Amino acid sequence: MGVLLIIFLAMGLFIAMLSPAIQKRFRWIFPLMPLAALVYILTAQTPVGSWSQGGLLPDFASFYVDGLARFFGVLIAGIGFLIFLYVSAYMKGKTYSTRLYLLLSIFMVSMLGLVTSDHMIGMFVFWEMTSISSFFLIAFETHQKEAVESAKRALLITGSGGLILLAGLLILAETSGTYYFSELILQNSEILKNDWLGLVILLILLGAMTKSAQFPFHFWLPGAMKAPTPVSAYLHSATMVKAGVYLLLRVSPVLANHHWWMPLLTSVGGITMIYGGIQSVFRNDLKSILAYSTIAALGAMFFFIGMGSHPAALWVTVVFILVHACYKAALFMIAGTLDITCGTRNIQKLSGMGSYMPGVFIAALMAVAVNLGLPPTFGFIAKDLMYEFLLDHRALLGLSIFIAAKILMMVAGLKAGIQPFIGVKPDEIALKKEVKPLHWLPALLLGLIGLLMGILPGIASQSFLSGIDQSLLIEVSQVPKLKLWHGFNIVFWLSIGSILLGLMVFFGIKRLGDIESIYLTLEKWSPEVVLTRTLSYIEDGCVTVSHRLQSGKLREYVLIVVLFLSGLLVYKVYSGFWALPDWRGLSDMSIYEVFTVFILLGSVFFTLFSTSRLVAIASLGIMGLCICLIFVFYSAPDLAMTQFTIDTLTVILFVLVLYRLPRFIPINFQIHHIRDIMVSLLFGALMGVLSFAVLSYEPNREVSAFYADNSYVLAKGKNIVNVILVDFRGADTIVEIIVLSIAAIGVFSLLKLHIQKSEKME
Amino acid sequence: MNTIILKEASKVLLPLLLLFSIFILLRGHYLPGGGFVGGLLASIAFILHAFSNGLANTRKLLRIHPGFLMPFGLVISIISGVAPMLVGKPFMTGLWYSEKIDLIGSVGTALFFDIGVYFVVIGATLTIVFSIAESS
Repeated sequence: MGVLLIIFLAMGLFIAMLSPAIQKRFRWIFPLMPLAALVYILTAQTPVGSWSQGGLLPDFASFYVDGLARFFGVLIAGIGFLIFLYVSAYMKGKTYSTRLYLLLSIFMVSMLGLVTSDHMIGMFVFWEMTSISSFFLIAFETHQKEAVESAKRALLITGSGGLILLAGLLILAETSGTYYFSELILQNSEILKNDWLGLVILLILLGAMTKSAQFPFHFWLPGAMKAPTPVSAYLHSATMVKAGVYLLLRVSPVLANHHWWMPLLTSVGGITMIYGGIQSVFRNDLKSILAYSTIAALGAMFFFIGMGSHPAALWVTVVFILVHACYKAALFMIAGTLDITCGTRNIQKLSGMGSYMPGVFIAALMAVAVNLGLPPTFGFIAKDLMYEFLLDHRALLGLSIFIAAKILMMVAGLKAGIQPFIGVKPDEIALKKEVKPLHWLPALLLGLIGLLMGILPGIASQSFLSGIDQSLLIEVSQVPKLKLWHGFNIVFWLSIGSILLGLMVFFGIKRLGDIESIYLTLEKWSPEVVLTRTLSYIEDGCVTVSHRLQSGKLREYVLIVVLFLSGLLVYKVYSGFWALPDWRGLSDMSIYEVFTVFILLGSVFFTLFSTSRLVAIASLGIMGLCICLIFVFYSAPDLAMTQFTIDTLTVILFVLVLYRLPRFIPINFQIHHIRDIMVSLLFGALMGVLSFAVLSYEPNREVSAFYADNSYVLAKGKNIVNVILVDFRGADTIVEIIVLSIAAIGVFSLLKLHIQKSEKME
Repeated sequence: MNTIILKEASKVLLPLLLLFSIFILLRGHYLPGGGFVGGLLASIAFILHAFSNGLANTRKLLRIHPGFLMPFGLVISIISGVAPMLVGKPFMTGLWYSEKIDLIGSVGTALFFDIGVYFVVIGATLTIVFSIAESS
């Protein structure tokens, strides 16, 4: 599995590097990738087993394709294939379509990695990769500022959620002793003794909530609708937002029986369901409607997973995921087609298009039928399962909330799928572009699958859903059978009743016309506004602090650093640290050393008090040379040579930089002079104490002895310093030369690249 | 700084100093020296030339932008570190030829690593100094 993913990535990147003319010829390769993945997943026997590819890839890249992974894999690859086909029609005539394919492929690879990963950290890596590729996809139209803003916001929310998720996963792994999901599930019964489980659930839930757009972290999703429609159809309805749901399902065998699981998840899911449903009904933009109804559907999934202590709930959730994928992606594609061909997405303006694009209309009808749960579609089976589960467990409050949310979702589906096609066509709408078959065939295919699985539910349970019971540890007897007809029982009447209610509400709202404005006044209390305001306060605060601390004057920065260090050392002295030179242990002083020290002191004097910059620089150089001589006296020739050359270069650099400046002018106040003198004296004295302390400290000679003994034997060199640099500690040297290069590039770019106003990117 | 004496002297000093820097580089394993000092000496040589003949002439002499020496050196160093992996040993194991060469001594991956460091130091130093010199 891992190898397959790497191959896809490599192919995609390779094609993207070719010239645009060649790219056009090879674009057809891209839809083959999800097709290949789909074929691979469908034909592999479950479970494929835990591979880390025999040590070729690191430990955390181990994949385990069990029933759950297969299910999601089929969703990702199958819908991916249809979306890729759709892209070829959607992007006709637009530039950069190869880039869209490439980014979508990267996303697909990350998503496949996420659902098949067995190692928790590996899954986290793929989780973040989906966030990052989603960022690039949302900001695809880079010149549109709102798109870039939405992308940043989405990344901020999902990224923070990712960090919280990482914390939760780490706690879970460390306390349960394994990083592998497959091993974690085996611990199912002992896990409840783990005290940290509540915190783990909370953290993982927060991570899942941000990714799956639950209230109050939901608002990045409607903003993400600025992405091109294939992206919205793929990421933000069928796959990426389901990542949170996948994660919860994956850990549910272990965590679902904890007493925090149900209240947290059902309340989050319930609130989100209703919130998303209400919002979707009020919106005018097709994609907004679909976005909010996706939020509502995700809320419903969380709601049902919340009841996961009854394993049948998890099964019901999975069925619902399958249904939702069928109709939501289709509806999005249809919305995109309407956008491309008619130029608008506003349902107040779109109506009566049914006769002009019959293919699209039929596809929409099928998608809406699955959404509503009309028999004999698969949607009907799913809806029945959900009602039946809630009735069986006497969850009447839950049932009523769910029915309300479901009706709202139906209305949203009708608004997005039916309203643009019925009625009379207004004059200002005209077909700007021709409707190509690939605009609606993928959506129609999804709808047909929905219908087919309804008539023959065996297809679903044999192929898509097989093996899930093992992944989720559901007893085979508790798995409800997927049947179309259960008889005229309560569930049936509830089902029909909710459909009728949905239709009534829809026609009622349609008559009301444009109600979005009512809603927008409430906008200022939305979580979105709260977040943006908090962020701007934080930003203002940061700016103020920066202005205080970063005054732009070098001497103030040095003062702050020196004062801080002195403060630390004073604290140390205060707590008893003191050292004086040990006069008896001094070695003999030769006359050369005395002279050198005097020259050193003299040059310090000249640096401080001369008014000519050149004299100051030259004195600085002499200071360095004196230190170099001291190194020579104490047998450190390598150090001396390096110091000598660096000193020369420093003087040259100083001259180059400072030569053009005028003579020193005293512009400091007297008080500043006094302050500087006091701080310098204090710091110098503390440094002296520190040096004396170092001298009296018994060093551990073990390492030096090792190097002295082994440098010729092991590294064939007699110069120990050099041998350490390039052999024993060679890895450090590599990092050092990288840092050197970065510094040089930094200086170069700061000085050479003057970006003029006209060259700036808008 | 365009005195004739310095100009003529630098014409002689530049090759001498470059030779000296290579000498320091190659002797690093046995006596004080090594890649860092050698690189610094070579850059000082070029800077001396730049001071006496003008920066434009030195750039013409170099022919390539000094910035290109940095990735060149980095690649040499990293390849010398990766080379042991091709024979199954861990990263940065020292591999040595069994015979010593006259004047240089043992040849091995550590020597090439040092040569890489040499080029990086020249590249970085010259980039910095030239950029600052040209911007003022």
